[in-house]
Amino acid sequence: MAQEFDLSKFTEFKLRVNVNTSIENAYRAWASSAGVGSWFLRATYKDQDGKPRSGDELAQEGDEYALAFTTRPDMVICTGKVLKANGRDLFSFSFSKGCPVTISIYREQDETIIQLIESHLPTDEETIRRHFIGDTKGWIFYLTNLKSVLEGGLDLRNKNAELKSVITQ
Amino acid sequence: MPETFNFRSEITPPVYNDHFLFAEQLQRPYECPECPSNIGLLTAASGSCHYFVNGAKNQLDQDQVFFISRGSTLAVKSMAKGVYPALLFFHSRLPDLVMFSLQYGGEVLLEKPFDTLPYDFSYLERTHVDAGIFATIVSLIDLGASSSSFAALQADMTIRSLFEDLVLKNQEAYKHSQNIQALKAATRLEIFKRISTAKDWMEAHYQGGPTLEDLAAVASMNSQHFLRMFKQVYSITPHQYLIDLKLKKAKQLLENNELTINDICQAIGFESAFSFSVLFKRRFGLPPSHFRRT
Repeated sequence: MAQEFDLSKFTEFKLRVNVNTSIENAYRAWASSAGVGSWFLRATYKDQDGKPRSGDELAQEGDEYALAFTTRPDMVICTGKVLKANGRDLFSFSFSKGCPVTISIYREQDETIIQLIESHLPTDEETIRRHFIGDTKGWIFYLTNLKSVLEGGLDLRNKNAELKSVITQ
Repeated sequence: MPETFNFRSEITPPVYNDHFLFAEQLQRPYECPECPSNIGLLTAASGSCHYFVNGAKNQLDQDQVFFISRGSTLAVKSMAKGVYPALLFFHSRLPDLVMFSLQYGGEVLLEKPFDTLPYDFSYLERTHVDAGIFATIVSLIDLGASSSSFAALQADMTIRSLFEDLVLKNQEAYKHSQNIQALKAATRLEIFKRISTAKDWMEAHYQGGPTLEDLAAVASMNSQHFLRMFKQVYSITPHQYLIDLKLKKAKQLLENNELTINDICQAIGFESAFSFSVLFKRRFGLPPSHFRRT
């Protein structure tokens, strides 16, 4: 018998990754532009006066950010706002369609867990197809890369600007 | 910017709840009857496409993009097999949101949301020879089938950024159009469209040294009327505009190539290297050799 989709299940998704690092290191990987740039995209955080924060400076609630490809710094692919930043283990920002992405970092079974929740996604068919599925796929690769960079230093991202349509960018 | 549009007809544009990109190499001939449109870009990813906008035929080849405004009608007649049409329609709210936020800033938008404020984007409604916009549409076609991470996000941002550029162009076009001394807005718009079409044509054919008569013919105007109107819109004569355009192209060639001055003169359609050098120095304050790529 065909099963009907429960659309309410598509309003958010949760991904968790265990990383052999400290909570402080994991937090820096999200809240500083140098940290984000090491595993995700080239990031710029700007304070509420519009002044860019330095590479290691931690972003604060209310900051604006811009993300661009590391291979094409001129190509901004996302802009948004830092919604929460407690300086320790909780960091949240607006992402695709302005939906919040919340990062919680905690210990479990003697390991550091980085948990990502993207929520408040609209449940129309197009959003589900493009953002629920697309963002899940995107975050899975980048969280894997975050683990790789923080644990061993191997950066899995594509470095060849001419190469297109690969999951590593 | 005026808050009106579609003053000539009572056509209600359709509402698009998202961006739509239609792109496919046709496996058989295709036709679509005339229907109302909202804001979009029409092009041909390869081959040559004919789009009928408000009943007028527009042939589009590579690097050419037609900006269709809201409330216009669009029809496709006898599009042949093998042609690769590409049509990008914007989310119906996006144009006004972008325009509003550029004009007032995001904070005002939160305090003073608008519900029924359609800006007039018809100042861009014509064929644009623009390799940049064309390449962006082609990149969106590629993104549609891409396995890149966050491809949808990239597409959204690309479309937003594309539309911001278009809004700025529309604002600039609107400002220029206000220089036309005509009583009716519709007359101003019509004259502006003809003059800007001729200007675009001049930019694409500057090497051949287009004459005033050539340009007037493109604008479907009498040459004296065209000259007067061009000067009104751009505060410069078509001849001065052409010389300036050639000098700017020459500067680009000097900066990016190793061509001789004579080669550059030939490339941009200047007959005398001496007069080129004199005009160049007058325009940029320095001789051509100063800009030569080292």
